[in-house]
Amino acid sequence: MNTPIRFALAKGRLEKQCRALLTRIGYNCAALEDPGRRLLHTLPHRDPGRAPLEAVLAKAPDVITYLSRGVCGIAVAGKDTIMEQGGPFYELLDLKLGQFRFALAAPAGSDFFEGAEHRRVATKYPCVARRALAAQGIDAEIIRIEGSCELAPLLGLSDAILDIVETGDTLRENGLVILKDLMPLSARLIVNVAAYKLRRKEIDLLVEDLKGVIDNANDR
Amino acid sequence: MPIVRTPEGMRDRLFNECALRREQETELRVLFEHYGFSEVSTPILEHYELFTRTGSPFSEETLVKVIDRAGRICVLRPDNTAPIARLAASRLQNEKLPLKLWYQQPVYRVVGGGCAELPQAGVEVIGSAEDTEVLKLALEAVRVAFRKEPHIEISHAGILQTLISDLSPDSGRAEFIHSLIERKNFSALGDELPDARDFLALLRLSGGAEVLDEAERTIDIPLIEPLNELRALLAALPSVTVDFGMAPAIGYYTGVFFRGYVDGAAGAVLTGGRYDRLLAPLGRDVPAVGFAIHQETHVPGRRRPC
Repeated sequence: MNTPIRFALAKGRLEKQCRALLTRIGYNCAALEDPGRRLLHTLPHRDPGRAPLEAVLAKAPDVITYLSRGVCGIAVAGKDTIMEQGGPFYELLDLKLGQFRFALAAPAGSDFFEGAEHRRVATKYPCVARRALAAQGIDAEIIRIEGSCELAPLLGLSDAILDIVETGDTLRENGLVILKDLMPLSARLIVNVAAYKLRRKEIDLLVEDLKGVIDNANDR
Repeated sequence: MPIVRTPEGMRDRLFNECALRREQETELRVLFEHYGFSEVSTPILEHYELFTRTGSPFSEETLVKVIDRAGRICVLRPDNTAPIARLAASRLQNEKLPLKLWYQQPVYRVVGGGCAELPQAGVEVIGSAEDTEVLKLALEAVRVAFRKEPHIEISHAGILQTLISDLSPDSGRAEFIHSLIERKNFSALGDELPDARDFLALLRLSGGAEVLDEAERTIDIPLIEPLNELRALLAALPSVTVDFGMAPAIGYYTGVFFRGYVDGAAGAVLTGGRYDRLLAPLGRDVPAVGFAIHQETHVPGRRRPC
């Protein structure tokens, strides 16, 4: 019996997309279709010689914690969470899931970059915001918000927001415009350093398989 | 009341944990002394400049600082190598080389919101150009400390240094490239260095002696000497493998360097290598090599509470 590789996966949209990728490379993801309240699921590979995955469903920031602490060997996490939390792990593959980007946005018609006023930026990503604003040479106060950053300028809590943006619809509906696109984001396969050293062949095989189905998806 | 709590990042160690630590210490002492090493201990506070001048790979914000009576900045030692190099260049400057020293004392670094106390044990060989014995001892030390078979990977700092300077990026970009290599982020490396296919292929190489021949074929820049050094080590220690995708801080290691892993630990339990330029700024220009065992790395099942 092969020891399973423990695999942490963020619940929600990313989970569904990952499930499709894993199914295409031969893992039986039936256990994830209707997980109920269970949080640990075994995903066997169609080749019985390959180690199964033991999927752990968790909140996005916890995925990074599990991986960095070594209780999970591999994980899928958004680049946004990776940049915010950081940590000692390998970032082996860009899964190219999710067409998001980090952007700085402010109410239409405001002059965020001008004047000598004290500036405030609301964000769910304070570490990313601190680095990004410093790189732009902007001295601003960062206000941490857990959700719906778009609300902060409407309430007068901040002068701008730094958030992940997909289509930009939410921004427009709240009267905000993008001041600066900061960087594209997508989901990544990340791997614990020691797990990779000790199970390199199996993990490399998984990465190659995933790479195959991702590249195919892009050719179509 | 803060007086009944430890400062953030610090913790007490009780009973069984102390007993296990002592036991581990005793076993490492027996091993190191058997190989002819003498124990030294250095103070917890050192001058800030000791670490900045010797090119220690610790950024300013990871150092725990204290101001002394004269207004000079001191730091809680973030590693043991620079203090022992200082000792070799001062009180031990007239001793015959090589100096074979071992230590067992924690290092202090800012981790997250607090200062972490990280127990280490290790050796430094000062004034020797020989790596095999140190690597052999490193394997044994991991076995003794964790009671598990170590997996040790080696590489050579000269290889990355030659190749990156050949691609001639500025120092800021070289640092960024190093950070991508350390994360094995090959998609970002491909975007950053679109024309460096051979270089990227080399970074993916890992394995036994066959990998060294492949490296020689992949790269057209002469790297014969570093590759031969690695070849000699693999021949002497067949359980050790090579990983060309390791990129520690630029300029610290000058030759062979290595990292060790054991099943169940989240990160490297052993780090070490050759740092021939560390002692020169202290006034004693001699080669040196050493390693540290990271004792606090959580390894499940090492020893159970009694």
